[in-house]
Amino acid sequence: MKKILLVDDMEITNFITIQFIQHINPQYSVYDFTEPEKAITQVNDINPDVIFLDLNMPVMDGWEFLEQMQQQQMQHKVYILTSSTSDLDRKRAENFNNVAGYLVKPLETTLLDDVLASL
Amino acid sequence: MENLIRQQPSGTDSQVYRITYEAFSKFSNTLMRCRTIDEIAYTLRIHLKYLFNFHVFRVNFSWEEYSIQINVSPTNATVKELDSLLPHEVILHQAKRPMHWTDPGSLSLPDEFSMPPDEEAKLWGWRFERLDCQLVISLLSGKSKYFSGRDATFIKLVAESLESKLLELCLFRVLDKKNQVISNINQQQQEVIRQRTSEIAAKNEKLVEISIMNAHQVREPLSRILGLISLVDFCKTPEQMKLQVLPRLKQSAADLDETLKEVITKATAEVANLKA
Repeated sequence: MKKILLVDDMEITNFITIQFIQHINPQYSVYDFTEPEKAITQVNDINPDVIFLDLNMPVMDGWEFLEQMQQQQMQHKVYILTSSTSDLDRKRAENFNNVAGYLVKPLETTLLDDVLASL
Repeated sequence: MENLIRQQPSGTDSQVYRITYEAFSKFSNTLMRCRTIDEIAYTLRIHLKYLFNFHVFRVNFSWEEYSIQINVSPTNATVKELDSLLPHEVILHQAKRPMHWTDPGSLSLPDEFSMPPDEEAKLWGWRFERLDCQLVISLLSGKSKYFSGRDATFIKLVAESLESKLLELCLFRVLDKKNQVISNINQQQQEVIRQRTSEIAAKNEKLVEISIMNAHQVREPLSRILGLISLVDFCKTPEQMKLQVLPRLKQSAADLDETLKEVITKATAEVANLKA
């Protein structure tokens, strides 16, 4: 079954995303982290089919997370999931090969449906 | 000398006067068109010799802070702008009347005034004062350049024209100076306007930046609230909603309120900062 990794410093956001995913397909395994610095050490072990990554986080932000992945040559597919509608952020995200899309919160279930179906 | 001028001219005299007046009107017309002191000096060199004879013709004009000296000989004309008087000019200023000297060599004048003794040089001087203008005219004559007292009529006419013209040129200079001052002020004001405009533009840009940053900060808890509300439809039991969704909704609303308060405090501080 598909494995999904959530990285967002807000527990509530992860809770919402989990509910959405389970509503679409309760079979998916969801691994959620509020500390990206911990999540990055688990990526290879979990080997997720997709990562939903927030950008604006304390300690380690989403950009640093992506850079770490690049350095460790992790090719996992990433969807950015952020409340930022900034075009600058959207442009910056294009610099990373493994970033497959840029989603703005609140997540729409139809969009999530499409993303999960494409895995 | 005064008696000579007042004498009624005889037949030949009147003919001479007519020709001289024609020469004077030519001089006067040319002088009127002069735009610089050098042009005036040139006009004097060309036209004066038709009015009377002289070795040296000198003009010393002063008005307010302006002083102009023009020295004319039949072959040369020079202009100086110095605040200085020749010795005989000092005497004329004190005497306030026309004078003449039969021994100009004793006055220690510049070289151009020195003549061989057999020329029997004579120095003539007139002082005119009108409004705030002071004009001293001196003329060096001699045996070969004979000047008679009756020629003084033309000296007076020339003096009047010169005084008006020199004053006009000085007034133009004053006007130019004032214009320069005004245009400097204008330039400074333009610079101030440019600077203020760029300051305002920079402040505007800063305010827009702040508002964008704030909007992003506010969107985070708001997006959670919107997400939680859409979860309500997925809840299978009222219990699930009450236990799982409502507390998180409450928390997110409190976070939104907190963020807004922060944003307001920060924006107020920034605006106060920009005003300073």
